[in-house]
Amino acid sequence: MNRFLPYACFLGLFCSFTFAADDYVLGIDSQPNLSTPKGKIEKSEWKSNIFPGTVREMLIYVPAQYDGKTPAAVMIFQDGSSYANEKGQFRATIVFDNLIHQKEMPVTIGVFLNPGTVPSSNPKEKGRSNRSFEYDTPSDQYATFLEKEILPEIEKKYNVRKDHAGRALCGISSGGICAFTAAWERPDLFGKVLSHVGSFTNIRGGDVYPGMIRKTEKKPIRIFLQDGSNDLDNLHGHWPLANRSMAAALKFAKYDFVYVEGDGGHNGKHGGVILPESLRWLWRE
Amino acid sequence: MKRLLSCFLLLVSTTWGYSQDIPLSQILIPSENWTKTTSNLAGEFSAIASDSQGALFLASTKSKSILKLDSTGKTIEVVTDAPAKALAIDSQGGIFLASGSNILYATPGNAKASMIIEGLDCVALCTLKQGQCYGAAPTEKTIYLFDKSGAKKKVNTEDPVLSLAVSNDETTLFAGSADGRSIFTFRIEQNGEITAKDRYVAPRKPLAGVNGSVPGMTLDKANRIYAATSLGVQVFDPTGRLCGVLLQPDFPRFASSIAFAGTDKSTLYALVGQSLYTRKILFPGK
Repeated sequence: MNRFLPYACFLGLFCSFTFAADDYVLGIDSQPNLSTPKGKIEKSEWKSNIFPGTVREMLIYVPAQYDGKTPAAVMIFQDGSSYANEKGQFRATIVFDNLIHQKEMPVTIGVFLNPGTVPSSNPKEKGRSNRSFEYDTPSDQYATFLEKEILPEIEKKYNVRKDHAGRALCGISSGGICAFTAAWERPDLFGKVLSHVGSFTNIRGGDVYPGMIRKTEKKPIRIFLQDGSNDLDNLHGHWPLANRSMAAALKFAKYDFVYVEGDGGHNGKHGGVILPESLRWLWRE
Repeated sequence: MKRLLSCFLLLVSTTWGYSQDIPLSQILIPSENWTKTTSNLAGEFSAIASDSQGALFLASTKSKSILKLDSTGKTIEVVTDAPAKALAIDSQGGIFLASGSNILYATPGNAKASMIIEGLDCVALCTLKQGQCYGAAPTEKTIYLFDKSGAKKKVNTEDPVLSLAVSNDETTLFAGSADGRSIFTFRIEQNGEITAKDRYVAPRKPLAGVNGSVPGMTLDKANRIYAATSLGVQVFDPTGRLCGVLLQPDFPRFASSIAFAGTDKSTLYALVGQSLYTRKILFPGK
């Protein structure tokens, strides 16, 4: 009996980290296709002044169809490296390759931004993560960071659209509320939001949005929300309830929105599987 | 088999040690509450601080001296004739004191503190292992860095702050704003200068009509921030997210100075008015 105890403990612990079905499988639009032209990815590091002392990785995806003459759309992903990972849950660059080739979304420059870190002055110590501060805070600081630092850098290198409908924001978890916050603060700059398991909870006061949406004149933002019924329920709030509350508020205020709830937990499995459909809906004319 | 067991233990230990997404229920001991100290600690105090060994130092307004409460509960007078509104203990056991508009320093074992800086009005002090000390001078909107020789420099001159704390790895300085709206973070450079200021932590605000402030602050070993505010002691995880608010020890009065001390530094001490309150906490202090 005793020899099986560690196995049983391990299995029990493992099961506590998995949820319900959550057995989503990526579709064909998330798979590389040899007949589809592949975009290029440029990697760089960004040092910010809006978030003083922070550095972050930035990947810029340029689709094969970009010709430099026609302004391309722009989509900025928070926690970018996880979205750009070609073996990850989203595989966004592969989906971009396929959908742009099929003309089911516009030629779009993808900006994959990681959250900032304040490096330690002591090389033996880890830097301080700025992720929660940047993503969870309901303020205009992140939108200002995109406006003053990231968009000018993209516009310096590429011919891109400058209208709000030609710019989209996307993120998972705290990155989801971050995408919404930036568009909410600056709808003149960002007209589209894609949120996966968005943290519209009280991590740093972001649970105020349903009330604010209901009592604010409708803003020109198109929003796709995804969550799972087995998402988090912790000290910050209840993620499925928070996303349902967001959806109800967006419906009340007559927004152009979709809310899709699967049965997954706090991960990108479901959001990744429906990413192609989400992008078709978000970028539809 | 051994490998599997190691994986299991590693997973369990990292899960237990994880310092984020922790509600108050995992920080507080269910049957424990704030307790007002009696007997030899029923004095009148203006500030508290602790050293790395868990000894508590109290600035007594009655005897105008600094008392030391060691981890066995014994109290001795370690500095005489030194009324103080803030104090901090360095790694050698020396004591920096903000006394009136001067900064004093008492070397270990010496009951007489010497003035090292004249005309510097600080309300909070915080030491680095190298021996330097930060001082918050809110009337000048300045944070100073000085050492026991009295050499000082201004390291920030933007906001009035009332409390200071340094992360366990001494890479980040936390500073509680006088208006209670923010706990600023600064990157601590190798020479002690501070850069990269931001409003990293936003304490819960008091109700309208009540002034907010962060007059006291300390950290636990996991770098969770314990901030004394007018709402109570607010606890934040290392990424600056609110874990919860501890009730005030003596409502509606609130703590002005807090410190972890005692055996394993697992007791949180709070100075409310001139009275001292204690509370056992599950996680040890820094």
